[in-house]
Amino acid sequence: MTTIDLSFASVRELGKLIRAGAVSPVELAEHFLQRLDTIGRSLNAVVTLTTELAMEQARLAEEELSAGVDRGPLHGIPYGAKDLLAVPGYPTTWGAAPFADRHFDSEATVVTRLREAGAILVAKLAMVELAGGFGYEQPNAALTGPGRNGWDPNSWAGGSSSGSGAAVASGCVPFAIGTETWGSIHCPAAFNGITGLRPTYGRVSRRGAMALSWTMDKIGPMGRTVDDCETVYNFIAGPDANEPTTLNGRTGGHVSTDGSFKFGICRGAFENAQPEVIANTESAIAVLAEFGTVEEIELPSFPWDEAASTIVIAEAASAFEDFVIDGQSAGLTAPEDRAGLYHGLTIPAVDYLRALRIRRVGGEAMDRLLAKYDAIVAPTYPNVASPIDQLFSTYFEREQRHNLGGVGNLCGLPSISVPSGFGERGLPTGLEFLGRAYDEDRILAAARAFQIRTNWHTRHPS
Amino acid sequence: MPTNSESSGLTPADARIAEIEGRFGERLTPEQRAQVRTRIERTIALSVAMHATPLTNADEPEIVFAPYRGKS
Repeated sequence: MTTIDLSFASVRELGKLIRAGAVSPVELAEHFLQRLDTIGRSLNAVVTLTTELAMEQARLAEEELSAGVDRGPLHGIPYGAKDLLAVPGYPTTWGAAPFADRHFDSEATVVTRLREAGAILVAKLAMVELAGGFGYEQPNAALTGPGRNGWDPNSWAGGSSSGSGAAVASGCVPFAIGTETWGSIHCPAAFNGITGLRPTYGRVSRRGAMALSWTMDKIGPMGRTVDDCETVYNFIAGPDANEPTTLNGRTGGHVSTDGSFKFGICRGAFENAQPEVIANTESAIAVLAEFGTVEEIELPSFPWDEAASTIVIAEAASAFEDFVIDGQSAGLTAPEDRAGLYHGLTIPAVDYLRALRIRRVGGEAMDRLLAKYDAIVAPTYPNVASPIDQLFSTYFEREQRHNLGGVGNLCGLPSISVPSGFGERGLPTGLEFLGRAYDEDRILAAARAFQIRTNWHTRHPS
Repeated sequence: MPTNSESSGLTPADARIAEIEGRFGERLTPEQRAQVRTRIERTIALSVAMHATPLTNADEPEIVFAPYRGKS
């Protein structure tokens, strides 16, 4: 074995240890399964341990690597998947009690790609029921109970990829897969002090994933570092013949090769943030100025959040129409979710179409702005995680606060959240790099440069 | 031209709530009815905010429709 703390090592470090013979894939799988079963469960981060599959995959990885078959940097690395990704042989609950025993025969494309890369699935991770689409208003809105924060179990893990965020933060998996319709990767990434990449809409196949909002759902990696997220992203992204949104063939622009970046700072997105968030963001901006130009910008004026809300509610109401009409939502955990989407059944088609028209004109305006920068930067969230027993409205909306979530998700833009320090109650804060569509490489390069100059991503709960 | 709900004296929120009541009222508790009303009112506010953005006839929705053709 090794003296390096396996629990908090990066994917790259673990890969080196495996290839140096310091630890085996089987030992790694056992290590993380044990942590998931104890720490992970105590945080309500686990739905199902995939022990049998994990050990089978770990033994195979060990045999292959011993035989000189190397599938690359994820070979032998354990990971967890948000429990809305189909995995044959295990329940796929979507975090919801009415689906607690539901199985799919097919395998989600993301899971297939990670399996083919030699990664080892150790757990299906907890999530807010139905990815939060029914309008939950407090943390206790999951089959597995309220998602607890990796830094403080009395605080929320964020959502809806709650288990993915808490499991990575608490050293229960080296990386995890999350999904985001509006905030579901970035929120738990920021609240748990980890790195989360939300790719451009259509970059990663959604086949085999629960649909909440067909035009807004994205799948992405959550890990300790930008490097880890990029490594995972490179394996899961790309065309899928069975998922038409992945097939448009568009590519991003060139990444700065001289290490000089152009950042747009959106101060309007955090002028009412918590004081510690503002201070951490200003410190982060000073770091950005070490390797790039920094310019204040304002977002084009469109009803970003209103259009995004209309689309999510209308598409979710359609995706779950039968579930709602049949009265099955009465079986959900959060009381407010049980009648949570009836209003979505009444949205006029013209309102939905107006939101899609605003998406077009607003998206064009955002692209014109983003074309001038490598990334627009703002706090991922203007606040830290709320207390586990508090209504979101009590904690989050005590002042009017905005972030880039509405515009970024409405327009399908890529974004990465990295840790930026600590705030109220000693909880992590996050910094978001929002990029032009298909420019994952540019925001990854910028965020990587930030992490080279900071060490927030190396901190972890004791 | 007034909509049916406006000519009947119902607000848009009232009309939508009546629809939900008519279809699902028997299964909703008083608290849930109040919640549905609040959320309907919010979605109407979303619509009002979106209508403050002028759009032209040429502003199409962000939809790419590709007529289906099988492989054979």
